[in-house]
Amino acid sequence: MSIIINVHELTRRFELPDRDVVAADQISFHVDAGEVFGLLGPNGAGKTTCMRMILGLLKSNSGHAEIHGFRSDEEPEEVKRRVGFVSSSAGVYQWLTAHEMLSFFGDVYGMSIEACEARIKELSKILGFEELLHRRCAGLSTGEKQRVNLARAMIHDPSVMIFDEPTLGLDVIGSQVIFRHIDLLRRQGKAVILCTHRLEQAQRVCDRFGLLHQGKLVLGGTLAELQQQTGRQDLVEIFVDIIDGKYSPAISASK
Amino acid sequence: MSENGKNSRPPRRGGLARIWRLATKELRETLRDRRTIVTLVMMPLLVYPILSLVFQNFLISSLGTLPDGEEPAYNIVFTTNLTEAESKSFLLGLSEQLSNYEKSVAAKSKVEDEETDAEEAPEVELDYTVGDWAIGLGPDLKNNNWLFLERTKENDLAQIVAQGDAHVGLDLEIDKRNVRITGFKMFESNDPISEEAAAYVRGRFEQWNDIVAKNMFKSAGSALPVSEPEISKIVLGESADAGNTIASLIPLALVLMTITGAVYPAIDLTAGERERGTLETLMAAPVPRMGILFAKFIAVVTVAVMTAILNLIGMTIVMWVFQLDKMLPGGGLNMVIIFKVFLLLVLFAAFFAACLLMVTSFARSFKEAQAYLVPIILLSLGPGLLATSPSVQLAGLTAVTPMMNLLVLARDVMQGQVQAGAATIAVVSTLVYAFVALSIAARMFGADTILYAQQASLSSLMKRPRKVSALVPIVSALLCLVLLLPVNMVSIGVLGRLGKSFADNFALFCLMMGAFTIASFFAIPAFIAWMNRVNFGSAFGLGRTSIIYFIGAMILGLSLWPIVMVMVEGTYAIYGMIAGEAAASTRHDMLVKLSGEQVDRFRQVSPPIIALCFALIPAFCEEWFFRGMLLRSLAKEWKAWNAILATAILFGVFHILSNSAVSLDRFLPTMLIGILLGYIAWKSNSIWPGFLLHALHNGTVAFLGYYQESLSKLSWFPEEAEKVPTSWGIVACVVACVGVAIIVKAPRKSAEDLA
Repeated sequence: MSIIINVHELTRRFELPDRDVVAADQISFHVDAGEVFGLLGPNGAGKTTCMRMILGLLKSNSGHAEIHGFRSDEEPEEVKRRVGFVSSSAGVYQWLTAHEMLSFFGDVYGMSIEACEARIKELSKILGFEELLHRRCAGLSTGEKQRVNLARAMIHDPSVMIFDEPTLGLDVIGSQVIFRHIDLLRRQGKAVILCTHRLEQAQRVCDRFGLLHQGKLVLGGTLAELQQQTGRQDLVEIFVDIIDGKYSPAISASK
Repeated sequence: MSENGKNSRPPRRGGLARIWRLATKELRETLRDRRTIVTLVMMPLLVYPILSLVFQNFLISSLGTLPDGEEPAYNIVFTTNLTEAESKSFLLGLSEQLSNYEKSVAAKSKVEDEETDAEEAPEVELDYTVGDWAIGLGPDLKNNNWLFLERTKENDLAQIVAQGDAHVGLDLEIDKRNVRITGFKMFESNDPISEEAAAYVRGRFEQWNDIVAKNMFKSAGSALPVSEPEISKIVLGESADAGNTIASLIPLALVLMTITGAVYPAIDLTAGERERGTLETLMAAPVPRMGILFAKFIAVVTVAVMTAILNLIGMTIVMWVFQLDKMLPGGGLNMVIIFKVFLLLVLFAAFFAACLLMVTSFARSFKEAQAYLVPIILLSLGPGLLATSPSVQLAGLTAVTPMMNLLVLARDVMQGQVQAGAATIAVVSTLVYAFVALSIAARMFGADTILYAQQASLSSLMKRPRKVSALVPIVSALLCLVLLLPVNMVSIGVLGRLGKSFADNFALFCLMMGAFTIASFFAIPAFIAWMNRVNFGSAFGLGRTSIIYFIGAMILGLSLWPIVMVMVEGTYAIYGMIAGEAAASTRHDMLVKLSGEQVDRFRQVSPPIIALCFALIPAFCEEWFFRGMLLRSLAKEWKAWNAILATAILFGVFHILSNSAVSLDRFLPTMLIGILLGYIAWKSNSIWPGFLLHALHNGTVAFLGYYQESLSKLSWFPEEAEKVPTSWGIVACVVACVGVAIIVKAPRKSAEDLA
């Protein structure tokens, strides 16, 4: 399988008045087409920083990320064109209808009106919000907003999807919709990075994992490999060990 | 957008159409928001009726204008060469005769109309002498209040009129025998009622003399010469001029309303977008920041213009209904004027929207944006209020002062007196400001430092970092700049006040000046650098550098002054073109005289103190801050030339403000020297060559003034240092070019070389 996302020793420091924080410390991994990579870790481990650097939203101090061979620090527009980004903090335009918001983003991504219309129809059907299309976003529930947001991120049918806590604040049904869709994306051959605290679902949906702690990638591999390395059965147990500081950082999580 | 990659799609119609589509979304978003609509519609509905009530009740009644249809009563004081009784009876008789005359004229013209027989002015028989008239009010003068005053020194008619106690003052010389007015002095003011009263009085007396002259002619066969009235017009304070007040207050009100319309969308579409979490998704899309920002700009301008239109309609209706437009000098409102004012409002909306976006793009939240905008709006009120003064003309500094220039231009438009040159400068400079503000906004909008920055608390500002760093952070350098501006202005003010008490001991004054410079330009940057725990050597560029830079700097330091003098002369010429020759020459005289006074005073001071206070201290302190801290901080983040240029402009601005007479003339030369100094400092990686140049230049200029008397005795030396012969300028240019060439040729010193 071909490597779509290649992350190479990404490092980012933040200078705070009282201390320096290394939010990402030489993080390296890759994601293939048709693969879901779970980037997991406790709060403040550096997951969000890492994703922002992959997208070119945040500059790295050293290292780089490539998507389809385009470096996000050198050609951020080429990278952004190929990535869909869903984050928990992503909002909606409350005064626009879902349809208006989606066609606005279609325009931003340079789609033709016809293609955009077709895509909105398709996505609203898959994600089940056809009847909400002409309602203003302000009136939507959290779950409905997140579905609109997911559609927004996929409006241009990107080959790479990055999910940063997509199920934050969602109920079981809402989360289910998102995870089922991630599964669909894998089958469509997309490369997906998923950040989440819902470890059981992640265990089910992700092909490989990278476990972050204090900016470092401490463990990496498939579930079987992780189980082998740690002697633990599931991610929750491995997580607890990580937080206890049981693991020193791995050199690279890639196979 | 480049389309050289795989999986790329052709974009939908690009360019302007796309920007417009993006703007439509922004507009849709902001216009559906109730808060926008409230400011858009409610304000003009309420503000103008209230404003007109204010005008009606306070301003106009205080000026004493009565509504149409009633004859105004004029207060007239008069003195004559006669006694009070004689004067009064003369006036009463005059009044009666005039009204009889008018009646007979009316009767006669009626007859003429019927007979269609045109004839010369009608004649009236005069059959009285002074003193015969009955006491009582005549029919013509009875509506007005006449007050007789003895002709004494205390009864200064000019002052009575100036105080507003009377509308007109009259000093009459009456020929008792011929019942004629031979001397006629009148005092009126620029108050409209006074002007009206004066016109009335003058008309009456001229008419009277006319009748008398005709009668004389008839009886004596020859006309006595009729004296021309001698009229003194007293110009009163600004408040009396209601028309001008309206003409300058209306644009201010319109502009303030336009601001109110623009503020909410500007915050909502930038800081609000960040707060709602949609900014990050927008930044994750492959669209240039400038494009997004430009779409937002269009949306804000559109809302602001919509506000402006509603306000303009409201204003026009109110002015028409309450007849305020009639008070405008130049004949009231018409569609052309309203349209021109509208165009100015569109321009203003574009300018202010750009400024707002610049500020709100920097803000991280709605609240933060509001906190920034309140002082900005208050600050813009300053030039706004200044512009309401009728004495302000659209020329020189006013024509390029943002906000003020458009307001004064709008006032001139409403008064129907626009100067094309000054108007063009005002419009072009505003467009330039708008463009600059928009570019800065585009740089900041969605930048990761703003998108993800923590909200810094006050305590974090006060804490010194643990680690030593090489350079002062850009934010701290800019903070230092912001601190220096008021400190500098206050110290100039303090020195100005102290100057008079130190008139005898100018040396002490010079030393104090030096101390103030050290306290501001040296101590404040030093403190801020200490707070940031920087290495002073690297942060201020105190390291050694190669000797070649010192040679270049020395040549430049000695050769720049004639060029500066020529340039200052050139600025006067340009100033003359903009503001008119007269203004430029007065300004020149004032400046020359000012520096002449200073020169006289500092000739008493000993040369070492001059060298210390006029050359060494300012040179060191200014290099320390401008080329040391500021340039080096800026150059870390910016391209070297941008940093050099920005520093030079700020250097120029500081020198405009540090002159006691705010003089634009100093800006250009100072900025150019600033560019040179910046270039040398950047290339040599040290402030010392720049210090040498700066000190030599300041020293040369100071000592040229100091030794001017002895120098001007030399045959080859120009008499006035300000008027340098062109040949000197050319020679200086050549020498300066050699200096620049030396520096350009020298290899750049990098930080590694110095270490």
